[in-house]
Amino acid sequence: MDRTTPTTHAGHDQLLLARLYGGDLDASERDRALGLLADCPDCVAFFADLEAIARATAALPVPPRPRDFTLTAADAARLGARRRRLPAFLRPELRRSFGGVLAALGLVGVVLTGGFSAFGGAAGTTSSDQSNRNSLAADQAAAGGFASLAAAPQPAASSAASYGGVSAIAPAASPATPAAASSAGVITNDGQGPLSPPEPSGLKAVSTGNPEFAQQGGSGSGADGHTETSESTSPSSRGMDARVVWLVGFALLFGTGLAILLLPSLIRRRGRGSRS
Amino acid sequence: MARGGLPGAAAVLSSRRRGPCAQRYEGESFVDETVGDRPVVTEAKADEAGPADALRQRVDVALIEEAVRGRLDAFNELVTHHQDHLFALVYRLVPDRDQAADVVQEAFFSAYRNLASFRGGSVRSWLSRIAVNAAMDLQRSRKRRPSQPYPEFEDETWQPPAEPEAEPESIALATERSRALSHALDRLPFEQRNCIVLFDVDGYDYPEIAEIMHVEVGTVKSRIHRGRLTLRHSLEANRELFRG
Repeated sequence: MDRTTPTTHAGHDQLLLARLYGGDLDASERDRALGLLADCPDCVAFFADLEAIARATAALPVPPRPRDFTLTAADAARLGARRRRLPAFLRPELRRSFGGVLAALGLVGVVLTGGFSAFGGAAGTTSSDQSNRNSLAADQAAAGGFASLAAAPQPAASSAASYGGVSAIAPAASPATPAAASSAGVITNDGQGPLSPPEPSGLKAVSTGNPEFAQQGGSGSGADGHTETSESTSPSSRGMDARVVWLVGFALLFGTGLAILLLPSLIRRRGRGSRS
Repeated sequence: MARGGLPGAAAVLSSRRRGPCAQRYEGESFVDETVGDRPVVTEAKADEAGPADALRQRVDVALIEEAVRGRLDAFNELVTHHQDHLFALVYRLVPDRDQAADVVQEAFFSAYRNLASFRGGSVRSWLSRIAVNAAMDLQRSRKRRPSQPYPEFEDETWQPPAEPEAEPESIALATERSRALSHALDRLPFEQRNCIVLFDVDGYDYPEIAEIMHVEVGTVKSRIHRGRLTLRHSLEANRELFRG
């Protein structure tokens, strides 16, 4: 409101009179306003002015309508074509429902998938750690020559740690990042890496049969370096990968739903802003 | 219900006036009482269900259904019925005849594009809402790039119509009053102006205006009351024009 506008007259509340005119007072306020009108001639004149102005506003003349606003067939074709260009689910009448359902599905999926990974996956890592690693080792033993791939240090442990919910792959990750491994919930024996499972003889055979691997393992890549290769081959890792894929998929679904819901209004708002 | 001057002041509280939107819409209001020489308009909501209104509403909804099925003539019948009302409404929000006409045309385009989004209720309110939104878009742009206000009142080629038997003096008085009031309205923030027009001229109540303007009911009330005070203050020097 214009700060220069007086709202009191001789201590009388003019806003109260305006609210009286608008029928917006409760009983006690109304009594007070009517009391002002009964006692104060200036308030009476003020109230009469409000009424006269409102009446004059309602009676403001309007010039003749300059043209007829009916639509031509060309208008209708143009507007109809614009409407038909949109896929059915993006038309205004369906867009909200469709976007809402997509976003809800995506959110539920993200929560379920992420929650399952975060709780079920992490719990699995700590409670059945030994058996997991045993199975990993067994897998690796079966994989044999894949052990040579362990030569390349992998950032998988840190990324697994950052995922949190997919930390179950950490035991298979590089022992070159023990801190990351332990932060991912992996039990370590000495801070140098995951607990070493009893090495199956087959694994030793692989190690000894591959001097290059043995050399790299001895030069600091860690005695457990061989476990790195199991990430892409073990069943549990494959299950976790699938979970990550689902998680990303649901997140995309959620994002798409939100975009369908919100983008048109954002674009419209931006359009208004640029026009003004 | 009396509504005029102090004798009827208390009656204002229970009377919600549906003002004559324009000369052509006086038929939607009922004049049933006179205080002094002034007609007093009592509550007669245009959208309220009198038999004629209810019939009109059913016809409008049927026309929309036909238009959704692709019948342009049904939509144009709707346009024909509502275009006067929409133009009168928009002209009070955007007091430039050409711009008001463009706004109304754009509102009908928008209505046609979004026919399927009509969710029932009053077709008149639905169209008004679209038109007010289009007018507010224009008002925002005018706020950034102010132009000459009220070209119509500076334009001598068009003058408000007068009663055939009116005295020249009263014609001049009415013209001067309209000019002063229009200038005062134009100085109001457009949010206050729109609320006052919708309330005083078009006869919407507070919740309806809140829905049209996408604001809270309390905000609408505040805008109307404070807008009235500002108007009264702006017209201080011309009070005699309104006290005749």
